[in-house]
Formats: sequence, structure tokens, C-alpha cells
Amino acid sequence: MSNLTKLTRVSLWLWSTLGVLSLVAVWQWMSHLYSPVFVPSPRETIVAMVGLLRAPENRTHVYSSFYRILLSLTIMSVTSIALGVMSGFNPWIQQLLKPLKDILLAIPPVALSLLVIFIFGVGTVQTVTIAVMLAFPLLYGAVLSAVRSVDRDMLEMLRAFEVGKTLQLREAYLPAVLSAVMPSMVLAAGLTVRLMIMAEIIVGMGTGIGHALSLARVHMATDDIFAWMIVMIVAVLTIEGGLLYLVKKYLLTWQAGR
Amino acid sequence: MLEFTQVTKSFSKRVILDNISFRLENSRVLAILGPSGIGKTTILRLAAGTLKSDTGAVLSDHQRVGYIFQEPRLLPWRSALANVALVLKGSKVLTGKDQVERAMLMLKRLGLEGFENHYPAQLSGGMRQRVAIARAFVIEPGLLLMDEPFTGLDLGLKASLQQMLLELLAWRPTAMIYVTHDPMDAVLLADAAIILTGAPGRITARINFDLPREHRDQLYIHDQAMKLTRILVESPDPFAKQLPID
Repeated sequence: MSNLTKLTRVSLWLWSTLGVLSLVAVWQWMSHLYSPVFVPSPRETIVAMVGLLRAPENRTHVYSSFYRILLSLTIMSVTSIALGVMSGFNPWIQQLLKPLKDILLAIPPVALSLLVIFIFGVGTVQTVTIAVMLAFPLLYGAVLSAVRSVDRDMLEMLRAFEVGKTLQLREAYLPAVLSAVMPSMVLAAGLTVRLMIMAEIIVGMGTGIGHALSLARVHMATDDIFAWMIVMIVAVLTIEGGLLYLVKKYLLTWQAGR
Repeated sequence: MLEFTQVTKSFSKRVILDNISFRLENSRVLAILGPSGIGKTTILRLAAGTLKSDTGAVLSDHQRVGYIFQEPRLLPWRSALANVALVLKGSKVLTGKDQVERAMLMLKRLGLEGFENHYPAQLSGGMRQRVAIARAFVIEPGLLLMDEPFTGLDLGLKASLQQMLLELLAWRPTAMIYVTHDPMDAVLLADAAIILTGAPGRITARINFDLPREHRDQLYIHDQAMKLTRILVESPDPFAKQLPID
């Protein structure tokens, strides 16, 4: 992106703005076709969203969800990176974890959520567990392949100069794995947000955006549903955008000139 | 001193090197020539200790070994200075500040002052190879291993890097094994040359260049290079495919 001219960047920005406006136009048109009970207009949704966010109990829902999302992201990142690195170095550990990874990838999210509720009941731990288990295979797989694809020539160079194992990990593995894994990390973060809301709905939590969505569904408040969806879209885009910014800032410093 | 005694090495049951013996005295330069795939780089890896021989012995009394590869092999996420200082990090004698200062001095010696904070992607091919040379010399190696480091560079750049290397060797005499395809390079830089041929690779010729490096003129270099070329050309290529005869 840094190589793009200002004109190209402005033009790209204009096209994406046009994309957003087109979607809003289709939405507005749909709201004319159907009753506001089913499809509220963009204006009604914005009014509903402002109303929602003004209510203190709804702010509690947002905080609860964000707390769970943050907790899930932390646990998911730590376990995926730790187990991915271990599997990358040790094929036995990889084989040991392969069935778990394959099962988690194949199992429908709703089925896993129901299973967790049946066995462990309802609570924050359960929703976090569901989100972590479902997002784990994506990041774990990315870390594993990143460790496996670390430049062998570079490692040979470090060994030839008798650079210690700890330094090899810090200087060769960590930056290579981070730069390869960051795009997957962004995807996994977005996925975690979506899975968390789903888990909150299925588990039937008493707080959180998922709970607020369930209430809106019961009351047939489609404007509230649309408003919460916009809150979620903003949340996902903010988290993904923030992470992408960090990725670009990190990668572009040493990839400049390529 | 570095000594190979009847060394053999195989990969996946295929013998690559067979009965390799040579001795390299301190501050002497040995060139190794031979066709591609004959096992020249394997000899360097055995000398560096990153590979172990199957039979025979590799004895070395060098504490520090520098390595210059065909490609610079710099860490892309580290600056030129950090790449050079990296190989000093294991030092128990030098403090972190000393390591950086020494790396900086080495970069200056190689004409890279002002580029120390550049990442490898921001440097030209020749500059990257100079950083790799600085990295090899900064540890004050007793033994330097060079694996065709000038391959792929244009003639002018190659000549200037060779001159730089000769100056570094004069400044800090170092035992060196220099793997090359080019007989002229071998005569220019080395005190002796060995030629590997056959499959598995064996030493089939040893040539000493009696004249000191600084006294070698163009005529001597051409004459000795021709001698090496003749041996190389007359050796059958072990990897040439036999064409079917009708």
C-alpha cells in the first residue's frame, strides 16, 4: 500500500465508500419493500443503536462480551502459538494433536456448543471454551506451518556461527512465525468475536451482546437486532483493523524496498 | 590447523564424499574446485561442524569459524548493524555496547558507514554481500569458510569484493577454505587448490601455488588457472547423462 500514489489511494477509498453506499441503498430499498417489523430502515436502525448504547444495561452487555472476547483471544493465541510451536518442532506432538484439530475443524459450531452446555452447563467459562475451541485450529495450523517453513538456510547460518538455541528462537523463529501468522491472527480474531456472540446466544448467557440479541428476537425488535449487528460489525472491523495496522507497521519496516 | 583424515559422507545411503584427506595450516588459503553437486559445500559444512562425517575424522583447533555463503543469508527483520552484531552475542568477553561498536567498525571498514540502520531489503546485492563478509570477519575467525560468495555478481562488483577480501586477509591473516567454480578466482586468492571429481567425490589433484599472492602477475594467474582448467575439463562429468545409442 505504501507504494501506491496518493491519487490511487483516494480512488480506492472512493470505490470502497461507493461499495458501502450501495449496500445502504439496497437496505433502504428493502425497508420500503417489507414492513419495518421485518426490515427497519437505516435511519430507524441508527436511532435504535443510539438508544441502545445510551441504556446502562446495554453498555454492561457490550463490556461483558468484550471481556469474554478478550479472554478468548488471549487464551486462544497463547495455546495455539505454544502448541503450534511445539508441534512444529516435534512431529510426535503434531500427530498427537492432529485428531483434535481435525475434529474441531469438522464439527459444526452449534453441535460443539450444545455439547459443552450439556456437559458443563451455562457460564462465562463455557462460552470462552466454545470460542477458543472453534478458533484454535485456524491459528494453530498457521503457527505449525510457519514453524515448519522457517528458512533452513538461515538456521544453518546461525548454527555455523554457533548462535545459541534461545537466540535462534528469538532471532529466526519468532519474527518468521509472527510475520507468517499475523494474517491468520487477524482472521482468528474476527472469527472469535462472531463465535463469542453465537456462543452467548446458544449458551443462553444472562449478559452480553448475544443475550441482548436473544431478547430483541423474543420481542420481535428487528431494529434492535440490526443495531446490534452494526455494533458487532464495528467491533470486528475495529479489532481486525487494529491488528492489521500493527501487522503492516511491523512488516513494512523491514520489507520496505522489496 | 584443520585436518580431514579419510572422511566419507553419505546422504540417504548415497555416498557423496569418499576418502577425503587434506590439512590446512593456519593463515593458509585452500581453494576447492569441482563440478556442481560433487560435495564441495558438504566439505565446508563438515569443517563448520554443522555436519558430522560418517567415517574418518575432522580435526580443528580453530575456536571461531566464519562462514560466507553464496547468498548473504541476512536476517531480513534486522538492520545491517544488528545482523553483524548478532554473531557476537554469545561472547562472554564483550559487553553489548562493545559488540555494537565492533560491528560498526567492521561495517566502516567495508565501506558501509551510513547504511548500518538499513534493512537488507533496502541494500543492493553487493552491499548485502559486504554485510555478510563483515559478519564473518567481526568474530575474528581462525578459520573462514567461503562458498562461492561471488557467484551471480557482475564482474566489476566481483573484482571489488575480491580486492576487499584480499585486504581483509592481509589485515587479519585467517585460514580459509574457498569453494569456487572459477580457476582464476582460486589462483587469485588461494595458496593451494584441490580438485574433486567423480561420484562419489574424491580428491584427484592437489596444486600448490608457490608464488606468494602479492607477487602473482596476470601471466602467473593465467598459467596456473589453465592448469586447473585442464584437469577439470579432462575429468569426466559424473552427472552427465549417457545419451542412448541407436
